[in-house]
Amino acid sequence: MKEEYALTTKNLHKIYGQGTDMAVHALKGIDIKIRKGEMVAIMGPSGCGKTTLLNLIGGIDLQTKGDIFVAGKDISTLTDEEMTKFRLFNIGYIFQLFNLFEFLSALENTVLPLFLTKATRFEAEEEAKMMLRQMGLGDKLHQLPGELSGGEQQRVAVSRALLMNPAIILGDEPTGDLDNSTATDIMNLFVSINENYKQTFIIVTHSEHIAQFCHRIIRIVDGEIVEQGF
Amino acid sequence: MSYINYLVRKTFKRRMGKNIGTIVAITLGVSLMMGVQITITSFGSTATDFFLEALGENDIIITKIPLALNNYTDLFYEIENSGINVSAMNARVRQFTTVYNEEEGQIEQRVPLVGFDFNEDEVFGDLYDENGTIYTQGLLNLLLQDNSSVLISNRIINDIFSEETTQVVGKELLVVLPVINLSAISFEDLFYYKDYNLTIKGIVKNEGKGREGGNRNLWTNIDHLREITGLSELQCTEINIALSADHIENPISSEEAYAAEDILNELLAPIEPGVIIIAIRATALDASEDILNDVLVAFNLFGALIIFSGVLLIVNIQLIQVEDRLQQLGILRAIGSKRREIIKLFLMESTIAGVVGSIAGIGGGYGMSMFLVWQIGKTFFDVSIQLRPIVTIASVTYSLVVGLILSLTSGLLPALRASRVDVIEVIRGIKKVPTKRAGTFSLPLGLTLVVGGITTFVTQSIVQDSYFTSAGWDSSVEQWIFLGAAGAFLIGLSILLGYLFSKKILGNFLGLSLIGLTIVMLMATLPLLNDLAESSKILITLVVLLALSTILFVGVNLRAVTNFIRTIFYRTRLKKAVSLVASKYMTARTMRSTLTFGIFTLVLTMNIFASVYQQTFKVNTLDSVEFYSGGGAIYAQLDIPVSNISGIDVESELLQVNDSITQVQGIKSAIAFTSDLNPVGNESALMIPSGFDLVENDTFKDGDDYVFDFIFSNSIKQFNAEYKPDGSQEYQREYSHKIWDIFYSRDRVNREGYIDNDDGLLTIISTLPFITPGETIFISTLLGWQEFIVLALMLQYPFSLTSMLPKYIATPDVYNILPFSLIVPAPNQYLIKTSEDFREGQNHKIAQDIEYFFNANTSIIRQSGQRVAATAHSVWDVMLETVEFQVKTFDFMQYFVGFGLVVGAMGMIIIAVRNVSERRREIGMMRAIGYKKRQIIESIMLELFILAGLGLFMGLVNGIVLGWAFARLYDWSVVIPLTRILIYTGIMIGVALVASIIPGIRASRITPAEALRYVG
Repeated sequence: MKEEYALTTKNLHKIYGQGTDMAVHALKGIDIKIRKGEMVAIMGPSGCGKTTLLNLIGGIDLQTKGDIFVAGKDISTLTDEEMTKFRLFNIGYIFQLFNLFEFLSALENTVLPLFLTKATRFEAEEEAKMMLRQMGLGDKLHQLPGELSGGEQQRVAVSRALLMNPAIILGDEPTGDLDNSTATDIMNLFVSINENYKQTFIIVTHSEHIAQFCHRIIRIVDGEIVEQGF
Repeated sequence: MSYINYLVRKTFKRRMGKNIGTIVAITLGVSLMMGVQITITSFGSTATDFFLEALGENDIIITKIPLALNNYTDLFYEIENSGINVSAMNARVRQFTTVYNEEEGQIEQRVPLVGFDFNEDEVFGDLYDENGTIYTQGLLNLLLQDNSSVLISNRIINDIFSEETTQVVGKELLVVLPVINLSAISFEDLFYYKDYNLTIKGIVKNEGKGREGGNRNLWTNIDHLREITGLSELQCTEINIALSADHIENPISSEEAYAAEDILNELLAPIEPGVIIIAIRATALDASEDILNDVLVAFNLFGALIIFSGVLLIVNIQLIQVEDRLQQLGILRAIGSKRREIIKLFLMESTIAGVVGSIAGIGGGYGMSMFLVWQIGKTFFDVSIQLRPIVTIASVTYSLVVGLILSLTSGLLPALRASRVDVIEVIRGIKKVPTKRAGTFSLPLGLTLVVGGITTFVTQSIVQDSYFTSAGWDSSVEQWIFLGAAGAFLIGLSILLGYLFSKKILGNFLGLSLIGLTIVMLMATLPLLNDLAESSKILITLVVLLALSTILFVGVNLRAVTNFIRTIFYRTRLKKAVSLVASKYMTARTMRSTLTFGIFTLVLTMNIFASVYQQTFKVNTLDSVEFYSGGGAIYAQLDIPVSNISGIDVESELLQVNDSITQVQGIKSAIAFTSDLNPVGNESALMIPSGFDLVENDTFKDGDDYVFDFIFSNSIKQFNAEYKPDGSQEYQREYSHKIWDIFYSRDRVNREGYIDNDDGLLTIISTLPFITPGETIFISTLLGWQEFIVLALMLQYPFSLTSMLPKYIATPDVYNILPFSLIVPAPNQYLIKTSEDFREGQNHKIAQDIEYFFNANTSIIRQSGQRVAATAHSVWDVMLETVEFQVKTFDFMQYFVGFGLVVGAMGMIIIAVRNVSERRREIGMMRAIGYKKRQIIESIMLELFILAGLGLFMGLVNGIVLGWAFARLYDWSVVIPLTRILIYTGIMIGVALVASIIPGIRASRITPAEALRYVG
């Protein structure tokens, strides 16, 4: 019944510098199940392994042990090439800092994932423009990130993450660099997308205020889950 | 401020990888400077040594070509008492002979047989044997006891003997000598030729300083040679005078030497009519300096260009060094560092990198010059001359100082900018939007430049020749001044436009107007220069200007260029995501990208121009050979005139040599001294030996028909106006026939260039483009120095282009008063027409048959008991050889400039590595979004390929435009060297591949998780 879940991890371990004196056991047997359309926050103190978990789920880092199923697919068996393709079509990323390419306009930043597919330039750009308009950035298509406010920049990042209609959107402190009011706006945007499109969100945050927007909160301390939030 | 020192230590160590890139860039830049300096110094010094080695301490030579000087002891007495401070004097006899090795049937023409007094002053040098031992006076007396004994230079042994050098001692040689007939009753009978047997008694390996310097001589006792050639014991053919025994310790200035020459002229002219006195050392050094200066101008301009590519590289790297540390600088400012401390931090780092790079660059420069100097030896001098790079303290100091200044100044300006940044903006990574218009300072600057440009233009027009007349454009200095004035005006105007409108308009206007200026000068003003050397100077300047202005224009419009390239990728649905990132990276760092492709543009403009120049010259010259040969496919040259052989009609006999020979015509030739000023009482008059060919009217004309078609280009003013240089071959022939008929009508021409039989001068014809119609020439004749005027320039192979000396065509009235004409009273050259195809036919073989006709033991001439040494060449073969030498010269220039390409390639690798290391986070984001490893490599490769492609494309366009301008000067059609262009394309693909592959692979190996943690 794996397909009911957008994400499942089983006994997930991550050890940095394994086999050396400096080895750090960042994740210690993480088991998580997140349903499709669920909006989950992962919380914990600095260095607890939140970002590491997110990177493993997103397939941009390799686990030391354990299994990860995303949209029913065991991503631990994928080659680098297969993983890259899987990431393109199934994972949307939103980071905290330097989220956009500073030398690309809002439209160009958004359209990038579609440019990696067989879509024509026209199709890709039209879709990206539509997405940006939905985000309220219709008049800022050709602005560079440096010319946008922090909130607008994150909206561009959200547009890019949503463009491929991914199975999961991963947010690593997506509002960490924003003031409270803007952060609330962004989270309201996430909630509305989640509600309207049943889009699964996994958001790493250390802010209780942000976490409250999610359906449940998974808490991690020292690489172990201390609360699943059910 | 000790924490700054601490920071320098820490950051220099920690950023060692990046600093090594900077050091390598400085090393490469300084290597170029050093290499160019050493190469130029070595070339100059080798060329001067080449002359000085031959001259030794010899200042003045007295001769009376071809007659002997009488009673040298009297002459010595007169000279010693003339008031000239003579250090040493000698008297020698020199005869040019043909040497036969009868045993093996080998012949060598024009070998000097030199008779000298064994008691000669030692300042005139020594002779050395094959072991390097000096031939002492005693040994010379022993070896050269009798009239037939000679020493032989090892430089001619291989030409005559098949044996090893040491085995030729004791061998016999036969020489043919002109002998003076003292009992002659007429002038024509004064000389005859006789055979003489000689025995080799020793080998001269090194003729030493002052002993001709590497000539192919036979040496013997002066008294023996006098006896052989019929001279009395007090006669000689030359007297050499040293004014100083050691010119290094006690140098003699050119003025002193020329003053002595004047005194001797006044003293000896009355007692030795026809005497020629030349301050040989001063004249040769002045002439070599003139030639060297022209060559060095080209070397220095090419050198400056490749040094400039090194400067671009250093600036580029320094810019990156500052750009990727803005964050660190912001933090330093935030914690309280003062601006001057940040500047100090950077200057200290730049100093360390500058010192290390400059020292390493000296080694690199030495390596570069070793290769180039070796190439100089191969191209310009004899391969046997061992050339070594000459490193002077001045060149080391220059390179060190300039390297240091460059690294400091190129680091200072960005550091100043960095020290002024807004701390918050730097820390938050927000970039200030630059102002659209140029700053307020630009208004006075722009106005000053505009006014300065106009003032220079007007001043030059008033003080010197006006720019509104053609006289205002006929020297390189005038055109340089115009270029400076126009440049200042256009830069000033651009700055004003930048102040009024935008910086983009400033860049575009400046780039376009400078490109326009270059093209206008190439088309309109360059052809106004009459002198080739002057044209070359302006042409090379315009090469640099065109390269720089196109770099500026494309740099300003880089965004549009990359958008265009990206659109092509989009249209072809290829690599959309890769091309978007690659092109945008380029425009995000416009300065860096511009400097990178700029290096290639600069170097490739030079290289491709040199290739186009080379091929255009080669193809057009060879294409025109047949037309300009006038039908004379073979050219034979004899050592003595064949009319001395009684009973043989050589022209008829030659027609029998091969069935394909259809026409044979003999030509007489002689050598005489010429000067462009009247040498009588004029110390600045430069006398040079020149060739004169007597071409009889009926030799080439059979009634109204022309047997050979001589081709003339420019002529005197009266006819030049109607002359069409680009006219058809038929037109050229008709025009040339007309000039020929005027030449033989012996009409006189006045100094204004019009026929004027009352006040005009007698005419001669020039075969060297440097000596143009309308110029007057003084010629040393039996009647003294006489003035003639050049009627026209003849472009007739082999008369033109095959001689390094000026060569003239003369009519009998002029030729017969030349002193040397007396010993060449009959033809010693033949023009031969054949029915064979000019290029592909049997002319080479027929030329060999002609040599056999004259030289072989069984030939009719040899059987008559006479010896004539002949060389016969297919004109096509000779021209092919001449052109190949020019091609080799251009090849050398390309090696020279090629080092700029190496620097560009290395610079690109360094920049690519640095790009990757500063884009780690972006690469992580790309991987997180879904870029494959291959696509990461592709994006880095594409960026470099576009930069290399831009450099190549602009180099190609510039090179071809310049090549076209060059071809236009000669009315040639430009030839595009496709093979060379393919090679350069291959090189650029290789450079881009090598530069991108390693950083590309490194980038693809960056794991996204690791990269996303990286914040610069």
